[in-house]
Amino acid sequence: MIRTYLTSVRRGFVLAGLALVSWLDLLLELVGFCLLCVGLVFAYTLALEGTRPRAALTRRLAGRWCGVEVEPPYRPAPPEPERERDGWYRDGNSLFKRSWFIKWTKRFEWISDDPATGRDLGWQLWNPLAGLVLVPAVLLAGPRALRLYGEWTRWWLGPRPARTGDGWIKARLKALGFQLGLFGLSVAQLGMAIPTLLALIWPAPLFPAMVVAGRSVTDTLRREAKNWTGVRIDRPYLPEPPFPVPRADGMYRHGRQLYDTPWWPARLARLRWAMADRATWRDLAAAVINSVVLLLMVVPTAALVFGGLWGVVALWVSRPFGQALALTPVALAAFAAGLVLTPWLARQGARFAKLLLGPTEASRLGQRVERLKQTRTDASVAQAAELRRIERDLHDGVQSRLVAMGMKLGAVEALIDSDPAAAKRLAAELRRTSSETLTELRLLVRGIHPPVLSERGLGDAVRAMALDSPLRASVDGTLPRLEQPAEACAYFAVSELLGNAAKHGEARRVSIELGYEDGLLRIEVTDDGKGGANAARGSGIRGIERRLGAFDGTFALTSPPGGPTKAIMEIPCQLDPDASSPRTSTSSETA
Amino acid sequence: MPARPRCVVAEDQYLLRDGLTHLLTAHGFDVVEAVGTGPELERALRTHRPDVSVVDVRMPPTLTDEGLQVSLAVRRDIPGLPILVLSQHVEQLYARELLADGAGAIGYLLKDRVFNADQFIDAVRRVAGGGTAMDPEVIAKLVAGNASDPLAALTPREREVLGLMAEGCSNAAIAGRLHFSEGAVGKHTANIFAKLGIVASDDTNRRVLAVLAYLGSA
Repeated sequence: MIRTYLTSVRRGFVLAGLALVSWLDLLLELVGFCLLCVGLVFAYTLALEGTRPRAALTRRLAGRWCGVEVEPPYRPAPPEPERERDGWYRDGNSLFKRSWFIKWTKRFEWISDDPATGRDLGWQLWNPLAGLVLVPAVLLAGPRALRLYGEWTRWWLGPRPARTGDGWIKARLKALGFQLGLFGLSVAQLGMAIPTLLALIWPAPLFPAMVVAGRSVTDTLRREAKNWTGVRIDRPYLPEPPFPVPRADGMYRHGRQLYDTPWWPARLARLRWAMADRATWRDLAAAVINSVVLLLMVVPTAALVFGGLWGVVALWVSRPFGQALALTPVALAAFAAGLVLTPWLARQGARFAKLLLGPTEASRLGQRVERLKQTRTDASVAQAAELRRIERDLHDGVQSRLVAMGMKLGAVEALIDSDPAAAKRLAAELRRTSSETLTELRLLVRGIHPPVLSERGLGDAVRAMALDSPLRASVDGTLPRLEQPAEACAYFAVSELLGNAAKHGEARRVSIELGYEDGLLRIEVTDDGKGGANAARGSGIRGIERRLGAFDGTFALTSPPGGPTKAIMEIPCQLDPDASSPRTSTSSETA
Repeated sequence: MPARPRCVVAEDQYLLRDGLTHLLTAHGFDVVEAVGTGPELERALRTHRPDVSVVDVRMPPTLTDEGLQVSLAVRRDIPGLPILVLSQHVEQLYARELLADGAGAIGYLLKDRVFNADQFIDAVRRVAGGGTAMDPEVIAKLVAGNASDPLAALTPREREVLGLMAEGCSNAAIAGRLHFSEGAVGKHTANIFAKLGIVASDDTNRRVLAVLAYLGSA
């Protein structure tokens, strides 16, 4: 009995001593944080990681001495960056020669995003105090105090279920922050607008550069409006002018003037582009109007929320008790009223900003023309490449075989009287060559336009493809006959996806869902492969995007590492006007 | 099968239609009508009810799979009407559709097979006699693809025999192709029928069922 008591007292003192160390850890982290502020990311990360052994030791001791098992709550460390095939390390759209930068930013994100890190910090702050309490407590209560300390440790250092979403108050306080943020961005835009207007007076050549710089601020506002309030504001700007192209005599033309170098024409074209774009002026107007309107919108809610909070504090500090008690509900009601209003006002503010910042019909058309130009170029380039391939295949394969056959026929003619046996042998060979030629032609035709596609349409063509695939592919859904170009485009896209699934994804099963509704063909291809497909890496996937682009189609790919890979294609298209009879097939089968 | 089987030829290209007619006539068939479009074929099949027909898949008026559709439609009304379908390309999908009624007397060959007159005529006779003639290319695609589950129980050799059976070979022909005795082939086929759980009495029918199992649509 006495022995247990003495042991627990000794253990309590050790734990209390250990607890004091965590203030040193906190100091270390403070230093790390200061270094982070001057750009040394890894110092903060190292400091945070360096204190984890103390927490781990406390967890172990809590398990051994206090009888409370505490599991480590940390998220798994990020994997080491992998070198790509071309020798670069890639993070998003940036390439790095060495891996350390990616490695440390990843580790920084990992450790600072982990909620357990924040709890560690809180524990380091309060634990020494708990240690101080532990000393008298363990002297008085012995092992029971240790048990309590173990529970305390688990509360701070143990895993906790992740919270889903924010609480009522937090979500609304955030919305108030978004309101303030949108207002702040609008003021920043105004800050850019004034020098832009001044540049118009002098120096005018700087005007386009100022406009572009101002647009980056406005774009931030557009992006955050979407992130914060869900109101989507598209960019309205006309596409930039192309770089001037010299005439046949090597001069550059702008209007009625010719120049030796492209410098002036380029400047002037950009100036005209910036001035002629109505979105430029709308942006400038928006900077003024939005700043005023958003301010008017944020003032009432901010006044209610902060006034309410401040009121409660002021009442209890400076007023007599009775009056404070009576007026507190009023202050709280103001606080609550502000909170209730703020998400709605944040959304309305973003909607108002959209009026001037959103695209006009003209800019939408301009962007559409630009996109069409792009896809038209892609389509014609792809078509030219396709024609070259066909020409080469015909030339090298079929044509040369036919030449060989003609020569053999000549030989047969010559031999038929003198050596009938040899002629017969040659004729047999001829027959073999002719059937090989046919096989080759069949393959070629399949690559140009698969016969099933023209005979049965996309639905059955995909079914036929699924049957021929080495994967277990199931096809669901029915399709009417659609416009032939769209059918062919979708067919080759599915073919590419099936090929990828088998080749790179190590998939065994694939399911294909087909559907057509309201002028939109939708195809979903899901496989059970290892995932990790990436539009930026696979040229095949980029090819699909290009193909679909020519039809204004969209392609969405989700492929987390470990799978499953899911590709969704959508192509706007019409029913086939030439279809003799609307044949549909309703079967669903597995190959 | 009568000594001089009556035969309908459907093919839209004149040269090939003429060639087929000559070939069949030379091998003892009586070509009662040679047509070039889908509707003509349908009328010819329904009026003559030929002992066998040789039908091209792609014909006017739609130039898609006219021949196939007409064959399927007529065989729905006249089950087991022997038809040999010819095509420039073969698809498992079409093979399944042709075999789906399980009535036999059906063939599906690449047009190239006409080059080898003996084998082609053999196939026509087989179809006329109620058997099947599947193009080796269809079978090859099946073997390359995933074999469906009921076939997992078969040994490689049995699968080989079943493949040839699916092409439409008789036991004697299979024995010739694989270089073992007809008795051994019989044993293999019996094993196949047992493993696939096919107990029908008529041998031809059993073979069709086995092929259907092979095609995964039984």
